[in-house]
Amino acid sequence: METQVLDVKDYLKIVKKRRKYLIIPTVVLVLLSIILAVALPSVYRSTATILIEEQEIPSDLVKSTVTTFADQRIQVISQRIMSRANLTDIIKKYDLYADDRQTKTEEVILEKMRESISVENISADVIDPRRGVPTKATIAFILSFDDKSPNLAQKVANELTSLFLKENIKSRTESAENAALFLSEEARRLKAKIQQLQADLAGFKEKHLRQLPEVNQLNMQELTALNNQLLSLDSQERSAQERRFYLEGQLAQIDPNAMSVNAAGSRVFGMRDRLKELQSQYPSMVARYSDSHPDVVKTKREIESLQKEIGSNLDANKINAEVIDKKAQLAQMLKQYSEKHPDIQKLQKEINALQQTLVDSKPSEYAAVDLEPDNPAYITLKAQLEGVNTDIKSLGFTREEVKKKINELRNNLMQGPLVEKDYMDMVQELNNTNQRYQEVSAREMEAQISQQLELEKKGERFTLIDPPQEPLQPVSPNRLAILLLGVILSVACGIGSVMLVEVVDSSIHSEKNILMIMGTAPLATIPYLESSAEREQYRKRQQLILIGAGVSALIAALLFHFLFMPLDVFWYKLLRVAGL
Amino acid sequence: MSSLEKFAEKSTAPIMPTSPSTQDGLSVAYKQTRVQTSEHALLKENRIISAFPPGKWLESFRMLRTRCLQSMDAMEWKTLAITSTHSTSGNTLTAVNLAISIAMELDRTALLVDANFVDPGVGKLFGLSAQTGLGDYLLHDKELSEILINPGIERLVVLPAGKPLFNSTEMLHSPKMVRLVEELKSRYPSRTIIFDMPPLLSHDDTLGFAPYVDCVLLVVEEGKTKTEELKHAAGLLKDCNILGTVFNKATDKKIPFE
Repeated sequence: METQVLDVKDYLKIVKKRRKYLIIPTVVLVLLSIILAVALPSVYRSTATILIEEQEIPSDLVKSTVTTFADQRIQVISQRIMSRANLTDIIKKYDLYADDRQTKTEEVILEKMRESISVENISADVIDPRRGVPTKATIAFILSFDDKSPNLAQKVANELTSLFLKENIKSRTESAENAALFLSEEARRLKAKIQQLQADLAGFKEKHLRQLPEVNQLNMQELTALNNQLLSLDSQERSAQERRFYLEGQLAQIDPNAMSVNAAGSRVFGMRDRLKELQSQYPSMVARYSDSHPDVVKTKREIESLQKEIGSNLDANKINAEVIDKKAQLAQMLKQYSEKHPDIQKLQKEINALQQTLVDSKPSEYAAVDLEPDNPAYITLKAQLEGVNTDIKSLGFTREEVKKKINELRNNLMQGPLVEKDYMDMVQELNNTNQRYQEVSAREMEAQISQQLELEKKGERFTLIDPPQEPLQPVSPNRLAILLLGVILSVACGIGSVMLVEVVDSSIHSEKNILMIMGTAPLATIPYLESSAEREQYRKRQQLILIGAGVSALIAALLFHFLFMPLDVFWYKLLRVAGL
Repeated sequence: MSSLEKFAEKSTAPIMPTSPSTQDGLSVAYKQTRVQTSEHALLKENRIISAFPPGKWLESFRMLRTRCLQSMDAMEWKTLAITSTHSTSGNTLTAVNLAISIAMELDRTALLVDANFVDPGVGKLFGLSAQTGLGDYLLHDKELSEILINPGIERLVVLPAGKPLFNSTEMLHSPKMVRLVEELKSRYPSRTIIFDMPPLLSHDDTLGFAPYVDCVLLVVEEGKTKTEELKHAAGLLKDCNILGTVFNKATDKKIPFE
């Protein structure tokens, strides 16, 4: 449609022309809204106000282990309260929704009940004491229950409230208990671990006692001391050796069997000396006399008997030395005398005899024979030598010991770093575990205090400050509003339907339309000339419509009366609505 | 000549056939035209304005007449075809009443031609018992003087349609018809010729005949004529002179029958 400017008259004309479309929907909808406003069942709401009180003991002193926000806890508790089992119990207990339960499924009824329960938080602007930032904190909440019966609404609201309070205490106590339990379990576990670690560490220490880092210093010192000791041992040994050489020299110069001297100063011969003398005389005798000479025989016999007595003390060396000595004498003498010289002859014979003796002497015969040294000087020296030898031996032993020890120490020192790493690890772990144990046990203590706090109900708690009352006025529906809105809506619908018809109908209804289409206004407007027959017909139709409307209104009223609500009841309700 | 003299002359002039004159004040004498005076009750029943006393309804037709004549005089137009978009819009009644209003002017005569061969209605409205009409003239060469009828109203002559024709469009196109229109136009200088035509959109008669008339008047019925129909009609007639429209059956100021 082209832009057409309609004035009030045009609108009035349109409304007059289309009054049918205006009146019918308006009347029907107004009636419907009246019925709705009157017939909607009243819903009563019973509410309880529950205050969230902070814990009595300042949280600086005792911290609660229940740290969730109040909103969150309220939500959690409401979810628990609205669980199927809980609601089913309440429905059974108070016989709620008796009519619906006949026809509808449990799910639908539960959903209806959940919709009837409402939890509304009341917040206040507070300043966070820790951060100093203004925030919103929930300080209380309103729990309400809607029902058609005010009495039932109050009862169920009461039940829900007590459930809420109970559930809060239960959940708080449980939470604190769980925290304490968990922490004590953790502390126990850590303690066991510490014991295990300590045992391990002790075992390790025992195993690597000499290689531990603590004894390192000690080991070093000991090593130095041992080294010093070794040096001193060396010098001691050297001096002992020198002494031994000296003593040996001395000893070599002294005849162990030096003759004893009697009181007269002459030597006292022992059997051995006698034998030696005889043996030394024997070669010269042999040289001088024949073998059959009595002296020779006698001497020979004496020697033999002496030998038998004391055994041969024939010292091969001595004999040899004597042989060499004799030979030297012989050579000396040969320079002065000829070989025929008797002395030389004698010496020759002596040498031969000695050589013979040397050859004849069997070590088996004489070696076993041990002669006790009898020279006191010799014995003294010998004893000293023996002492020095023992010293040297003992020094050597000590030195071996010291060397062994040094080696051991060196080994330990070299292994030190390796052991140290493991050792440090173990110590570190033990320390860490100890630290954690201390932390956990401190927390455990706190948790136990917190648990006590909850048990004694000194923590944050819900206090019922306004118990549910039996509501006197229904909370909904707002009948007046429904009525008012219904009327407005009806009129709007009527106008809307008129507009719709007007838009849909494209026929020409005024000179303005023609002006719009043709560009010029019509030359003339001929009014409708209504004949009497037409008027009669119109009147008749009006009457028919009125009668029809009356009849249908009656039928509708009767139907309403019998099917929906008795009219007298409706009337009283209507009066009450109007009186509101 | 004063209006008083004109009135006197008109009132005294007998309804006698006299030769048409160009002098001031027309006293038409219908020598050859039959006079058939209609019954008053029938005219009233059929809403013919001559049966009504001066009133609002009459005024609206007078307004239409004056405006039509002003425009037509300005353009020196003499022939006017009245049509509408659909059949029940009061096309014929408007034509009849307009013709009567024109005839009411003392110095003008009006000729109402019923060119609606589909559904001839002029005769019925006047209650004329005419057996012959325009169709007879075109088909059977009947004398025009035998067909014309004066319905008892001064300065108004009616040319009925006669019997319905099946080839009405062709008839309206025929050279004879064209000649008739020319002749009617030129014969009397102060005569206005009104053709009542069938609906424009349902029959092609009007569209075919429109070029032979000076101008076309469209009747619009309130609540029935659709916007698109009117637009369509205006589009079809864009090559012709559209004198204007009449807004008929306006319910705004319904006038009850007395």
